[in-house]
Amino acid sequence: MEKTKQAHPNWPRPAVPLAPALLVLIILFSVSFAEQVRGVCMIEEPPLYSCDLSSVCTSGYTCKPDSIGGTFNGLARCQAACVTERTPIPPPPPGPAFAWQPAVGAALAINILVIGLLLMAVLVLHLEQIKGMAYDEAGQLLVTIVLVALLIAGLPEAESISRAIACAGGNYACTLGPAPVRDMSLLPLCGSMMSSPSSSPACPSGTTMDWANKVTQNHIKLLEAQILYATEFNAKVGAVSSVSAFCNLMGTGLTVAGCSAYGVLRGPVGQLLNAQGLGLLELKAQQLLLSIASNYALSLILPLGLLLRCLHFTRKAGGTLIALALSIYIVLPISIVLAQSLADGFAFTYPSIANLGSGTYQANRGIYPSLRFDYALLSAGGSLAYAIECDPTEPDEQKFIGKVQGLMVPLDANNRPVQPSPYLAGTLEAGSTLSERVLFLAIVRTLLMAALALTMVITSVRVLGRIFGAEIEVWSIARLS
Amino acid sequence: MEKREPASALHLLFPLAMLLLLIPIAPVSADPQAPLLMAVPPSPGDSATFQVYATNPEPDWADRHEYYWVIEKDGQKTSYGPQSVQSDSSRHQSFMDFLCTPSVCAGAAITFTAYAYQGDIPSPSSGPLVIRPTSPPLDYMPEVKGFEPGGAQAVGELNSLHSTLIKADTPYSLTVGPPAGKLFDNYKFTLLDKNGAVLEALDSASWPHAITCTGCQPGDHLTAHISGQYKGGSSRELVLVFSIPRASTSASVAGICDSGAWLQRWLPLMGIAWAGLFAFIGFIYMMGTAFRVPQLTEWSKTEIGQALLGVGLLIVILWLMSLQCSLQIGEFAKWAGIGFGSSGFTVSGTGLQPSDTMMDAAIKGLQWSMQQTHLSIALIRYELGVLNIRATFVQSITEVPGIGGVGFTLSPSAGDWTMMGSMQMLLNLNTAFMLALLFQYFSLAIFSASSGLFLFLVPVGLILRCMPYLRGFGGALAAIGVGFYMLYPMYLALLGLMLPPIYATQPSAASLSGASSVDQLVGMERGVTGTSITSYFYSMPELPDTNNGILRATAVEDPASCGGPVFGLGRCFYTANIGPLFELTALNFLRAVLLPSAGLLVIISFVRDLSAIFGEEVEASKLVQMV
Repeated sequence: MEKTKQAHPNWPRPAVPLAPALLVLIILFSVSFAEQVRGVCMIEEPPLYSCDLSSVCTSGYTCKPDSIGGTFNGLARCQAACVTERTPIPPPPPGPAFAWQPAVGAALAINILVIGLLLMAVLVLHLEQIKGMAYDEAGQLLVTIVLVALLIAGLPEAESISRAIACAGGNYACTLGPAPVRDMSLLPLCGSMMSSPSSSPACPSGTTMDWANKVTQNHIKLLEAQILYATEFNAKVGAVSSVSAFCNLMGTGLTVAGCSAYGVLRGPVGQLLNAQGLGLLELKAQQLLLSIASNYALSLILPLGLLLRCLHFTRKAGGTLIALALSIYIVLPISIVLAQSLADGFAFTYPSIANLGSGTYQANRGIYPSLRFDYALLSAGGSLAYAIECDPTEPDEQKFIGKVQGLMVPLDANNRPVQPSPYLAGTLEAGSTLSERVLFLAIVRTLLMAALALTMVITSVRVLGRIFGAEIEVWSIARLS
Repeated sequence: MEKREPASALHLLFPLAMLLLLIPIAPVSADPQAPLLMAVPPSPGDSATFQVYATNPEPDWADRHEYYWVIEKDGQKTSYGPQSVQSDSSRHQSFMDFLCTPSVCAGAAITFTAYAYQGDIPSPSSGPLVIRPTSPPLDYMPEVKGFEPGGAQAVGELNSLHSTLIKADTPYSLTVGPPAGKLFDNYKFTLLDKNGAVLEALDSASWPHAITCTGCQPGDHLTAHISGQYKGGSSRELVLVFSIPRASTSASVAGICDSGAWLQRWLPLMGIAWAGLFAFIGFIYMMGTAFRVPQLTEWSKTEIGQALLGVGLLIVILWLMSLQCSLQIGEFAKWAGIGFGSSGFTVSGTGLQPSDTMMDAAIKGLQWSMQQTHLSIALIRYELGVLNIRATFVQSITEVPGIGGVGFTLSPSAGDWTMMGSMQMLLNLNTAFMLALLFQYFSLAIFSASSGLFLFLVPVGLILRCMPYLRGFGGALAAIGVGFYMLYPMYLALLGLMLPPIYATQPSAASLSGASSVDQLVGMERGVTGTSITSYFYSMPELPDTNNGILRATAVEDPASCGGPVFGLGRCFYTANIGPLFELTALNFLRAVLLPSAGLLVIISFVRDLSAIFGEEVEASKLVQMV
């Protein structure tokens, strides 16, 4: 063997094929067996429709057809008359056709044939120089066969384990304390488990991938609505700040831009918009990754990886693909669900999150300081004093300060100072402001939690890649993200 | 006796004369004077009433006024009157209400005269007062009813986007009409070329009307301005743009599938190199045997083995080339469960066919990504332009009229300045993504195309590999060439296969704007303002509104009040919704940067392993930093 190594310094050292694979197999079966023995059951309520309209009806409620009031930015808008409807959602579509098995089987068969011929030639012709290589290839082939068998048998078990973990995380997060949140759509994960703040959490049916998709979709809707509210507030701030008064007499006069102080608010609101927008960008990318994972991870990426692993030249590339496929199919959804359970659990005991908006459209828009700018009234010939709250000839300093306070001081949806309650003592309630609440949504919940999920996926890719024989610099992807 | 001076009598006369001057002179004549006529201009609206005033200034007075008027319309004069109106309490003024309906006033000139009466005594006639009421503008505009040979799709595009694509030197027939329930009795039609020169100007157009872009080149366009008239009132202009699409400027990238031609160029050189190498190795072996130097014989045996391995590698590479050219994307599509339509994917798709090779599929996939990203850039730039104009719009409201005035100015869309900042950031991001896609396209051309580096790296690498002490370097070159030739197009082809079905369920620049190409979007932009800025009913440019206004965020208290003409500007107060644009950017980020980078990692790990086999491990990971 040493002579072989010296004569052929370019052949790579054989990997350790069997031990990690067997270890994974043992773990999978033992956990599955233990789970069945313990008789762990998850309480599952009938699946619910979530209101696929603007964020007024909470999860589990739908709009009565006669309560749909017009459109808002292209979306039908529910009035307050939401009713509980429990309508079973259709079963998820069947999984991708496993048409990859014949191709992988054919590749394995060809490889077995070639390796068999090689071994025969080595034994018959006593080709000591390539004996090591032949044995190495035979070992790798055995590993690949075991891998295929493991994947076919073990994937359903892996999915059920990931679902159990996600369910446990969700149950814990959504039962941490009293639920002062009025609108469950503010909590993407708990909103998918609870029909109302007073109900118990129940894991939704379907796979972890479906659950992660649902949570991501809820999150996207939440952020889209927040962007709209910030946009409207910014539009009003800009319009009010542009009001000025003029007085001219025969070529002489003056102009007073008494409301221009309102323009100071445009900077912070613009920053909030950008933070929310970048969060939305991250979520959309995450949603697409989930879609790629559910559609192609098992049907295309994994079989391609297995195929490439059969060939000596492409073994590491194949291992990389296998690691990527398994990570995005199993680890990515569960990491998303667990990350959001962390954020929801925190928000559950952070009652100010309730003041991000709830109830009807009017109340939702009240999360930002109220700002009267009725352009419709003005265009119809109404008085400026009634249409716009700022009089440029007599700008009211207190009104402007009230807007700043609305962003920087804890105020509820009706612009009233939040009164701390005894059971909230020691929480962050006293320091909560609209800016903090929105930044929690944009930065902590969206950017940080997405980064956490991505870190888990990338770590999984590295670990699995080492098992399957690949060294991957995946942190480059992390830097890009 | 004191003697009176004669001047003292005159002194008495003087105050008497003054007194006479101060006594108001009684009117010599009892007849009233001709009144002065005045009218408040009528508002341009249906059934608007205006007042005509007759005034006898002090010291004149009148008990009543009698009004006469003559309506001159379409060359005919009709006289009316008298209309007797009592003076007001001051006995100086009276007024008459006059109802101005479109049927009466549209296009008419009304001449008023009046007489003042004191009792039964009339005054002379007043001077004529001529009123020409303004016809109210119509609140509807023409619609395209037919466009042949474009068909229903072209009609839809012209009505929604106000632009469509046409072919040069092809006659088209345009039919325009009023909206349902409305009428026009005349149409004005103006046709302009790309430079704004008037090709046709008709004050009374009939339909269908022929339009031909004679001698037009790709990128040229014609613009038609059409307005309808009804009873003297004019509608807003309908601006239609007919564009000639630009030719595709994509570089031609072909794969290497004719290995014979490649071998013909390099085989002689490789043959000479190998022959020389074998001869040299043979010579060394003979020397080693002759002089009994075992190191030389061992070295010769090793080098012979490596040379033979190099020949074997050439055969393997030729096999891989044939595999690359024979492998079709349809086989991978079967694994992934992706179906093909009768003509490849849909209109916004890639045009992939099951029989496409990896290279063809890679090129089509990249072109699809570039087209979509380019459209996103064009849409964001369009919105930026619209917001720029809207943000600078200032409205002036005068509350106390006079010589000068007192009032307020405001800019309802001033908040758009903040939105523009975010949009500029998105434009920069998408531009960077476009550059990344172009980098991938040119990398494909450089490494994998028929005129690329593969045809240099591999043969040179194989030749160098066979030479002693240059084995590592040659092996690395060959590995890089083979790796990028094999895997890079395959990976891009897989992306071009996997992404379009997923992206079809996501919002796209085409679905948000309604324009399926950049040419069409630019055509929309040309008709973005319909009326002249001096028009009282100036139309501010609008953001695209195809997907139920998803690109707009209303900023009024009640969105239901937004829409319909409002007296004044006729535009609702809204701003841009940038949420969909962020989502669009995420889609472009994935297909331009994240996914290709992930694939590059796989390719680089393959190249590194291959180079270790061929000769020497190459630090291919540094290539990642290029990304």
